Amino acid sequence: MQKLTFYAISHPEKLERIGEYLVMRMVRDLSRQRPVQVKIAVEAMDQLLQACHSSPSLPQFSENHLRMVQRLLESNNAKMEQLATDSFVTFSNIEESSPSYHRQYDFFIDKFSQMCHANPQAAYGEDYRLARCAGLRGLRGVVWKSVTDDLHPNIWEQQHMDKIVPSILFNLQEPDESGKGFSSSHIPKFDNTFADSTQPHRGDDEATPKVLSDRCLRELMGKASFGSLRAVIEPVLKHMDLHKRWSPPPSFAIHVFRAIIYSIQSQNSYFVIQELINHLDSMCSADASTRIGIATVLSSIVSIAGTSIGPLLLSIFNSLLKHLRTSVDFERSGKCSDQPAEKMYQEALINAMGDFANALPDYQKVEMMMFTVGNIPNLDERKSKQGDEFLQHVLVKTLLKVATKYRTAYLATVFTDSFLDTLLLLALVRDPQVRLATQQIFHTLLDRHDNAANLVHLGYEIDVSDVQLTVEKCSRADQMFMRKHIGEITYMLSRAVAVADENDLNTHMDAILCTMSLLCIEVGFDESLVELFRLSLALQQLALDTKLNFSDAKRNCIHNLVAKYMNLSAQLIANPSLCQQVQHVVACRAQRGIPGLNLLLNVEDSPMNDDPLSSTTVNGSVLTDGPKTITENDVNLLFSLEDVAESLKASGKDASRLFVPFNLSMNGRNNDGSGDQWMNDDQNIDSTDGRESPDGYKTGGIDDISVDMSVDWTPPGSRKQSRRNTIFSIVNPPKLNASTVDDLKAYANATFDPIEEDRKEKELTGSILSEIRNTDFEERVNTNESLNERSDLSKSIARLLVRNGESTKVRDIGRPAKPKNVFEIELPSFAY
Amino acid sequence: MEDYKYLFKVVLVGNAGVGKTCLVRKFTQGIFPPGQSATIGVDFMIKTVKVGNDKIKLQIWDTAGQERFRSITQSYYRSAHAIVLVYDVSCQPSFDCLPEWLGEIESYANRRVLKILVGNKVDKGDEREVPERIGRDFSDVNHFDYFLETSALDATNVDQLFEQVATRLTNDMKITDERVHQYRADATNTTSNSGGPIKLIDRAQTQLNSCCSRQ
Repeated sequence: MQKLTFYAISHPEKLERIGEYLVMRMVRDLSRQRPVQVKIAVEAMDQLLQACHSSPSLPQFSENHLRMVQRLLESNNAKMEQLATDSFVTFSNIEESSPSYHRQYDFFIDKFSQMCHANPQAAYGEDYRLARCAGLRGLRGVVWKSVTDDLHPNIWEQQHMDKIVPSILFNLQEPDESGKGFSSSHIPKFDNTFADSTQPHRGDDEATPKVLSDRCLRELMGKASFGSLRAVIEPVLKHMDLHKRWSPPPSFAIHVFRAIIYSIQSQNSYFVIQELINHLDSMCSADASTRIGIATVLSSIVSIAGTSIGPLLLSIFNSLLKHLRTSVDFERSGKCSDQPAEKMYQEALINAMGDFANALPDYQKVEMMMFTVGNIPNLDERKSKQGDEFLQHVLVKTLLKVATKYRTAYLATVFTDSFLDTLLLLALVRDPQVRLATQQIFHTLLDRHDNAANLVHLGYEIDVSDVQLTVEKCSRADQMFMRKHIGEITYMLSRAVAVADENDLNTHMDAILCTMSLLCIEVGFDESLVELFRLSLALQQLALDTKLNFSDAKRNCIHNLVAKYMNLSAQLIANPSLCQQVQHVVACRAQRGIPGLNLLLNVEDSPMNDDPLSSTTVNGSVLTDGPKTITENDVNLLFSLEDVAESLKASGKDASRLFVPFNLSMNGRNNDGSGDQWMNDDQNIDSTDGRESPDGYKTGGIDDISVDMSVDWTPPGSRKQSRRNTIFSIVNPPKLNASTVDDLKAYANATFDPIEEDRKEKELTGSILSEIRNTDFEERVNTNESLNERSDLSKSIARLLVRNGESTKVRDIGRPAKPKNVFEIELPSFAY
Repeated sequence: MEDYKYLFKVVLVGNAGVGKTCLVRKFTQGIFPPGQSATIGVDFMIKTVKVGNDKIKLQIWDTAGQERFRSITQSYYRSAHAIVLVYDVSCQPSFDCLPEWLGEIESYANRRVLKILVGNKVDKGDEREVPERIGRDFSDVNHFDYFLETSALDATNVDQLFEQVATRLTNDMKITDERVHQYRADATNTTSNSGGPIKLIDRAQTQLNSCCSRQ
């Protein structure tokens, strides 16, 4: 053998003939069933191949070698196939200097793919696993060989990938010896230590087809270029469809796609997501479980692909929203047979969007929230349809999901005007679930110091420091923001309390209390604090108002809410006299023993449980015929406006705002000064100064008109203004329902300021009108004509003629200089 | 060096359990494997047959009938020279699926592929559900190149089936080859016929060149 090798190296021209001879011998031995001789021949070929890898006649020799491999593969003998694969893998490791133009690997791909599917029953018997491994290695060899060779881009053609990819996936999904289903734990994780998987592993490491196939998949994906990605991904999707790998839990699909995302070049990962979404598009009429699976897979990979999504951000998000909408419509249409599954699908989509948002930088999250808000249909309750309400519900959930991933820095960056307005409207819609979710959105967006968890079920805390709150001084930007919007927010909160659902009272009340507390903590500067006190007192009045048909339980709940909030904020602002008042009132209430109002009892009994109903059951037997709630006459049991104001003044705060009545009328401006007007004595305190007064319009007809006329005069944060904003956005639905992605992008990027917009438009109209009014007709005709001069044909012809004449002149000037005669050229003397 | 004249790829398709694997086994190895389980993906066999004096190598790709392997099996259609569509004469559903399979062949295989319809399991005399006439009619209507009823169990028509495949493919190939030869011959003839003018032009060209060079 050594001699042969030496001979082959020293006489490269003989190499081809050596190869021919060896192959001939091998074929003969093969047909005569002499495995030992065959083996020797193959070994010889291998050694020659390795020894002569730089020989000039290697291409010819390798042709022979490949023919030998083919012959072995055709033998229908597992051992020979094994031999062939090993030999081929050796060959595929050799880098050829000169490309081979006409080499065809079609048969190899066919055959290796077949080996990947080796049947345990058929020719392979117990060794079918070995055969599958061999098949996989062979495929990998083909890929290596073809990828390194520039002249073989066709490995990425659909027809080849349709064989290679399913073969790999088939082995990946096969249960191992343990007989269990797929679980990713069997496969060494490369996700975290990615560097490992790039190094070639050999030996025992690749013992099972499963591990090997995993590696092959990653390698294949890693080598795929952008152009060939489609050819690779499509068979994957098809395989998942056919093998029903989407149905939940789609752990296999998740594993595969994670592997893909980790392996491909990161700038291409958005393409995979795009493909998945396209697939979802095409499967939109399929079984819900399939769609759930796809959505789950999406949600589990977007976070990995996150950073590279950039260019397609909105279009991806848009198509997800579109799917959500379709699903909602489908469920509504009544054709849906499996509603719970459809719900799960929506849930999965929402999760996907949440994860998607999680992977994005913060400013894009704001964009996404804006975008979602833009998709919420029709907030005008009178027009809303049944389906819209449901869609609202789903979208608000989505919004909540996105919002949870967002960390607020400055309130003003999140709560842009239109966003805040929509949220405020959402907090008051008919569906209690939406209202609750909206409160939660407020919680997560307001909460910057992770206090919300402690505040969600805030009880009556004797010592607030037990709650372990993080309080930080409010920044100036936030102060500005709050100064502008606190009116709207408190109004929303009061309305929310008023409409709070009787059935699920505690959750709603807790949510509102939490929002109030968070406001108090996050933006606790004087003005907003005073506003919040004003709100609490107003709420107390609300609970006392006999005209409203609230149940006693609700009234009690509101009283409790007020007491809890007063307690919290009094301690937070460290106002001892106020603290004392609160304690006094609470103690009095406890003494009176009205069921559901005894906060102290709750504290002692079960600090976590502040459910008034449970305390009713505790006390119910004792006080069955006692008063059920507080009336206006129980002065001791109420927080008095004057006392609160007094204490606030004592600590140097401007409490005058407390006396401004708080309007809770259900229909806003429509019933001025009558109907639900509950403030009794101090109506005239409501001064006409209108400083930030959300209730400014309430003071009477004339003022109202003056407010309406001068836009600039109206304080920007007033409720009226906000109303106008919403009307504006309803009037202009195209703004929200932009048809193309670019439009949406533009819309999301533009910070939409309706006030400014409105003003500009008015200015424009004004200028146009004044122009028409002030100048006379003749003059306008003249100016218009001069503007349209270009359209006059004769004039333009004349102009063209003039220009033409000039250009000919130019040509004439240029001519004498141009055609220089040969004889005139002064050549250097040596040219002659 | 190569010990065969032509190599043909034959792909067997059809519903699961119609006996594709058994047909192939019977033909290539002469055995009827009892208790054969479902094929996974594809299986591969090779057999050399003689047509006249020529050695013909048949690569037989035996595909899985199960739906879940459709993606991998479809990928083998494209390069096939002949597709053998098998149904079970004792199983009406397998016959009813034939149009579906035809659709697949149409969309994935070469348009000029040789299509052969085979009704297998004729040994199940009493349980027959599809009469031969129906099968033949179907094959005629759908332009199959050949129809045959076989039994892998008692070897009825098995060898004949593959011989037919090989013969037909060889004949087709020979015709094509002859055409190519003919065409080439024609091509050379035309070239030789038109040799004169070309030469004349050449001469003119040379003369012209010489004139120029002389100057």
